[in-house]
This record gives sequence, structure tokens and C-alpha cells, in this order.
Amino acid sequence: MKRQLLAGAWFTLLIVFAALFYAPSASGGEVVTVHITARQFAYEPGRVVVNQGDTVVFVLETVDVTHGFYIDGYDVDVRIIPGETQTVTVVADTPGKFKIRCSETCGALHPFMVGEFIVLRSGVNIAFLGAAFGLVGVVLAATAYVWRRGD
Amino acid sequence: MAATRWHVRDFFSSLILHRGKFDLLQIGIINRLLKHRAFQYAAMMVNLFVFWVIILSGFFGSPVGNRNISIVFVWILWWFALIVLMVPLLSRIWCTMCPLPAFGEWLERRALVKKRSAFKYLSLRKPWPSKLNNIWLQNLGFLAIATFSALLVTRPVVTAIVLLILFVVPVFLVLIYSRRVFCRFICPVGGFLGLFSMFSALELRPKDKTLCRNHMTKECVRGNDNGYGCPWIIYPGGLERNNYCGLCFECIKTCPYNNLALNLRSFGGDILAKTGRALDEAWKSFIMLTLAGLYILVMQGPWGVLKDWSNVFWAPPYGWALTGVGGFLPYVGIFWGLSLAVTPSVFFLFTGASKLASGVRSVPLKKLFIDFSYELIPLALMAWIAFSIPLLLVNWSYIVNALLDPVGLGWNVFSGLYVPWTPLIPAVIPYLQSIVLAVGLAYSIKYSYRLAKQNFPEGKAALKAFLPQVVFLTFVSMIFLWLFMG
Repeated sequence: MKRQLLAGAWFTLLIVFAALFYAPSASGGEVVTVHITARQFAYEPGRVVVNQGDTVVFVLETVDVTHGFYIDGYDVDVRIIPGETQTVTVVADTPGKFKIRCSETCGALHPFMVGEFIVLRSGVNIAFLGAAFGLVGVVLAATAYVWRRGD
Repeated sequence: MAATRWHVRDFFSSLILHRGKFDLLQIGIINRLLKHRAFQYAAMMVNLFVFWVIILSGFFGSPVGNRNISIVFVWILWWFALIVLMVPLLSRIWCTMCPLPAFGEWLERRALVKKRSAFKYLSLRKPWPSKLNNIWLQNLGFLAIATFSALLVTRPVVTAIVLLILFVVPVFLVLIYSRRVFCRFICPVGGFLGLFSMFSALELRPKDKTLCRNHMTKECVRGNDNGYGCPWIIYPGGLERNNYCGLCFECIKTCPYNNLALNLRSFGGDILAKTGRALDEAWKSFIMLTLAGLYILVMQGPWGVLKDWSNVFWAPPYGWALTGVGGFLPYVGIFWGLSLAVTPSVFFLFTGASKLASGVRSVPLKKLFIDFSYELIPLALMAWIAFSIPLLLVNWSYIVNALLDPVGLGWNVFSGLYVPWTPLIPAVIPYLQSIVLAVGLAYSIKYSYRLAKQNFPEGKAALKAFLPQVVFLTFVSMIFLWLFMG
């Protein structure tokens, strides 16, 4: 009975995740313009959320010193110079959460100057959802393991 | 050759397959090395040299953190090596080579390497106050330092000042109390090293406790011509946990029966040890778990206001200016309030639920609260490891450049050689962090059930008590997962 319940739970998780992963993207393919202001030691807005397939035009400015604009996993690394406006275009083709990092030493907390670029699929953060399902799977498996061993 | 194969097989068998233990002292070269009096001295000397380079560089080098060896080596390289490699694999091996107590210890012993047979310790040898015979000072000290971590890990001069303080304090303490009271009761690093070393795959233990009990002269405590009595003020013959053993290996040298083993074992071996459990260690778990989350939130999150609050002294351009206590005070409140009150309170509620669910009234709630707190150790350690992964993978180029130009003043001897900032597999980092977190969660669940079984050995009470703990652990893990991927 325990084993059947566990197998059922696993199967349900798998089906839900597969359905989300393979479902066609509900939105995306739009051109989204995002204005970002860099300052010591943050980007404003700090979190940029778009849909997979969107073409994102980042319009970048700095209010103090020179900053960098680097996105993990995307081939983007530009310098934002005071008094100038930089524009960089990104096609959000990979879903998930990607850190935006400052690539120019800009002061004491420079290594911690971080933003987030979140690309949704079908309106959800599929990477987070998958990981959350995985974590629940770990909980179920570990619980079942210690329960069955009983030591 | 056959012996080597046997060693390798036993090594992996004990570490990975969780089958028994393997005594590293069986390996001749390790045995000889650890029994050699110069071993610890040499390890400390190397670090002492690096330590003073770091301090001098902190005071006189570039004020830009990522160009100064004091920040790059201490808060990226050392921290990563400590939390990701040394603590999980080798317990408190850092304490073996830590340079902070070096001067004090040498001064007290009036010797560097040799064990002097007849001498008077240069210390008043006062007893350490019994009320402070715990890790509360370490808990509060670590929390205090963590509160100012945004300054500490980004300003070379702050790192240098703190290291200098941590260097001077043990010298004075040893003159009053003798031995390693600083390491044991005050060192803010030592507190969490002790807690996390309970999870470590290495332990120093007596082989036969009966032999130790019946051995009247107890050289491991008193010392003999081969070595000093335990500087960590513990009885090595009764060791059951790693927490307060600083792996100085004096007991290996002094034991006339070679009755000590340096075992490889399965991860988390001490979490089920019933001796020594107390509220100070429980709170250390809460502090470490909470601070891991807060560090990820503040340092690796996108919320600029939190960074502003943490950065109480701003530096335009690298001078000192107060950005405003108005932001720093709530920040301090969040750090201390969450660590000391909110997390323990939430955990207390879940422990209460465990007791209710078990249906057993005879087990005191306080005992249950303390015992279950040890289940947090794997999760907290893995959360810190997850926090540390991007420190190295993103900033590794700073380490190389700091080696080429240690103080960041343009001393680059390999002119033209400069490694541009290039994060390593940055898009994979959240997945690595999630996997590490999942490993910690699995271990925490495993030990949660076994701790429940210790308290409720009869029937299904353990399982019922364990389920609320699983909910708590899952809830906390989901918060971390959201920080990494959400």
C-alpha cells in the first residue's frame, strides 16, 4: 500500500511537470522594453520578468559611476557609462531565472550588485516549478526510505 | 600494492557506502606526519605568513575589495575551501592550521616545536568561568560579525582590523586562562565549525574507551614527553562528538597505547550522539540556518534597499561616510530578530506539533526542541555551501588576478597578464545550488526520523512526531529554493 501510494505520488508529479514543460507557451513573442537604472549597488527594477520568446529591449542608464550589465546564460555584457544611454536587445529563449551582474568594478559592494532576469514559460517559472517538484520528490523518497528502514 | 588497494576500498566503503569506519592512522605516512611535532607548527607557520600578508595588504593595499588579496583570499578562496571542502570532509582541520592562536600558544609553552619536559606555563592558568562554558559567546560574536558582514567582506581595511583583533585577543586570553579558551569559547568561526563538524566525514575517537577509562595517568589530558595535554580542554578518551576537538593531534602523540583513531565515517555521524546536546548548540543551528538565508537574500538577491541597509558605511570614493542608521537599525533587527527569536519560535511550534502528534506526554518539550534542532545541521551546512558556490564560480578570476598583484597596487610582475572577469557556468549555478540543497534536505529528513526514534522508540509515535518536522524542513527548503530559482 505504501509503495503504491508513493508510486502514485511520483507519477502525478511527473505528469504535472511534463504537462507544464511541453505545453505551448501561452504568451511570448512580444517586444518588451525595459528601462533599467543602475546605481551603487543595485539595478532598478531589480527583477525583470518576461515571457519565453519575448524580445526584450533593455534601455540602460546609470545615475552614479560606470556599471556593467551582464546576464548569466545570455551573451550580454555591456558597459553603462554615466551620461549615456545604452540599449541592448535580448531574445528570451531560455526559461528560468538568470542573474544580472555588474561586470565593471563600481565600488565596495560591486560583487553583490545583482539583478534578476526571469523568463516564464506558459506564465510560470518552469525551472523553479521543476525544482520544487524535484524537492518534493526528495522529501517523499527520503521519508519513504527512513520509514521503511525504521531505524 | 595489495595494501594500497585495501586502503582505497575501505576509504570509499566508509565514506560513501556508509559501511563502518576507516582509520586513516593505519596509513603509515599519515600516522608519522600527525605524530611529528613539527607538523602543526609548519601548517600554522605557512598560514601565519599568509595571514600577515593579508593584514598588511588590508591596511596598505588597494581599498577596492576585489583587487585586494585580503578580501579575495579570505572571503572567496578561504571561505569556499572552509565551508565546501574542509568542514564536510575533514571536520575542524582548519583549526589544526589556524594561525590566530599561534603566538599565544607558543608564548604559553615557551616553545615552538619541541615539547619541553620541565617548564612553567607562561599563564595565570585561571579557570574559565563556568557560566561561559558553552558557545553562547560564539553565537553572539558570530551574529555581531555577520551583522557587519557587508563591510567585512568588501573593505580590506575592515577585514584587516577584525583579523588583527582576532589575533591579539587569544594572546591575552592565554596569559590569563591558558590553553585554547579563545578557540573553544570565543572564536566566532569556531562556533559554527564545531556545529557543522558534527556532519563531517572525519572523526578523532578513542579505539577502546574501556582502556582509556582504566588508564590512570591519562597522558592525553596531562601530557607527557611526547606532547601536551589536550589544549582544547577536553578528554580525548571520552570523545563522542567532533564539536570541540580542534584536531591538534596532541593526544595522538601522547597516548602510550596508540588508542586513538582518525576515522573516515559516514556523513552526519555525530548528529545522533546524545551527549552534549544543549540550548546553545540548538541556537547555533537556528543562527546558521537563518543567516544562510539572509546572506543569500542580501548579498545575492536583487533588492537594492537591503544592500543599502547593510552597507552602513558607504565609501564614495572609498572613504568613510555614514549612509544612515535609519536603514541599518531595521537591518540589525531583522538579522538578530529572525536568528534569535523568529526561527526558533517557528521551530518550537513545529516541535510542539511533533509532541502532540506523537501522543506521548512523557518526553519533555524542551528536550524534544533541543534534540530535533540537530536535524537542521545538514540543511544549514548545505545552504551555506549553496551560498558559497557562486562566490567562487563567479569571482574566480579575482583570485588569479590577486595572485598576480596581491595588494592591487599595480605590482603585476607578469605584465600584461590579466584574467578578465568571466563567471564560470553561471547559468548552471542555481541548479547546482538546488541539488546541494536537496542533499541537505534528504540528510536532515533522515536524521530527523532517527532523532524522533531516539525520543519515541515505541510503536508509530516516532513516525507521527517526525512528520511535522518534515513539513518544517520542506518549508525552509522551499524558501531557499525560491531564493535560488524563483
